[in-house]
Amino acid sequence: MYPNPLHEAVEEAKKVKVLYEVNTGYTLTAKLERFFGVAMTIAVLNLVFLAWRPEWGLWSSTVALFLIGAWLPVSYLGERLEDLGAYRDLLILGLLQAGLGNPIAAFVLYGIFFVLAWLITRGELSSAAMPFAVAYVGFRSLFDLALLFTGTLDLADWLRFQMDPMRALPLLAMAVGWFVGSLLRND
Amino acid sequence: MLLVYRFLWLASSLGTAAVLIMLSSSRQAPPVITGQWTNVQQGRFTLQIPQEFRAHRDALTQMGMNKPNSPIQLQDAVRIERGVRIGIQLALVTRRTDLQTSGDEPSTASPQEPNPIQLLRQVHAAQLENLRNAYADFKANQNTRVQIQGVMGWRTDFEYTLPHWIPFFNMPVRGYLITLPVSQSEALHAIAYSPPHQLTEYQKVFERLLNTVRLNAGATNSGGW
Repeated sequence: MYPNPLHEAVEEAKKVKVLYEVNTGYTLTAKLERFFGVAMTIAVLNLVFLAWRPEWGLWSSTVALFLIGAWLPVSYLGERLEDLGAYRDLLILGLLQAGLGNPIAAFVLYGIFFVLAWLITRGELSSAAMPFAVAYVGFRSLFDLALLFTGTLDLADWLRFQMDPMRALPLLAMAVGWFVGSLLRND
Repeated sequence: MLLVYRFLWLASSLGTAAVLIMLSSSRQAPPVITGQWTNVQQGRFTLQIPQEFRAHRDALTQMGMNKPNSPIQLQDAVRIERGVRIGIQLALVTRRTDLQTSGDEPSTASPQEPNPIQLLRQVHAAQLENLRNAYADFKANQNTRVQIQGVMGWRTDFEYTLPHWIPFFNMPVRGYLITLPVSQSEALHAIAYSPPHQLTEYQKVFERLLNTVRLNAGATNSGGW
């Protein structure tokens, strides 16, 4: 029996695909499942702690976001923190968070700046910090929602746009986590 | 290994939903303070405050409350706050006696001095007017007599709207103003406020806080109530 060239080509392509996924990490679905498998576990543990001791909310959320930030590159969902553009975006996001005090407002403004810069540079812009920013806003909002439910955080304080460097502490912790995770990732 | 991650994010998502539903249930709401109180001394005030609150005594507060031609002069003020709409402000005021009355003709008959209760009501009304000018949609609701540390005073409940850059996020605030005479020449304003749905709980905290307030010795004006 003669070998079917088409069948062989498909088999070769499968091997190439597997090799590609091994090289780059995983498929997007697998990356998402890897990231959220650990990140959601950390998040739910933090939520249980917030329900128990809401007065320690800032510090427990800071630790949780540090761990999630460290897991982001290790799960291969985010890139390593080695690009100058990523550091620049982290600085912008941190300044916006400290200046506005609200994670969603900071993210919206960062998104506007990013889109404008992307249009100006005609697409030649590093987007390494975007998964980080999305993960930060999502988990930070989740933790803040739990604090709102416990009564530790008032809605008026959360909505207030005012300079408050302490409210940027969880973002700083997550950024440090991203840096540490980048060192730990074994490519 | 991917199955483990899949199980983890699915189980954690369910756990997250369960915790959020549990926290949003009003029956599970924890007390507004943990019960730990600390001693604080700020200016002329010595008091106990819950651990969750912070005391500020800044010049801005004092300057903002003193008007050049007001018959009431602020002596000292302290803010004890948990957030932008949860807190209590204490202000120690005196009646000024050094004001020059404007007018070309000198008064022929000296006006009758109001009695201490009337003076206290005037001071109370003047502070209410300050609040009315300071906040949007300020509404004073009811006026009652209260007793704090054995001293009778006036209390007026109020509501106002805390403005936001985005008008949709304007927040309602409910609170009350208590004015107490503390000496022949001084009165104490306590302006307490919180979100409307939490005023009942915070009122107990504010009452306990007011019962711990002690005033340190300081210079007083010669005027009297």
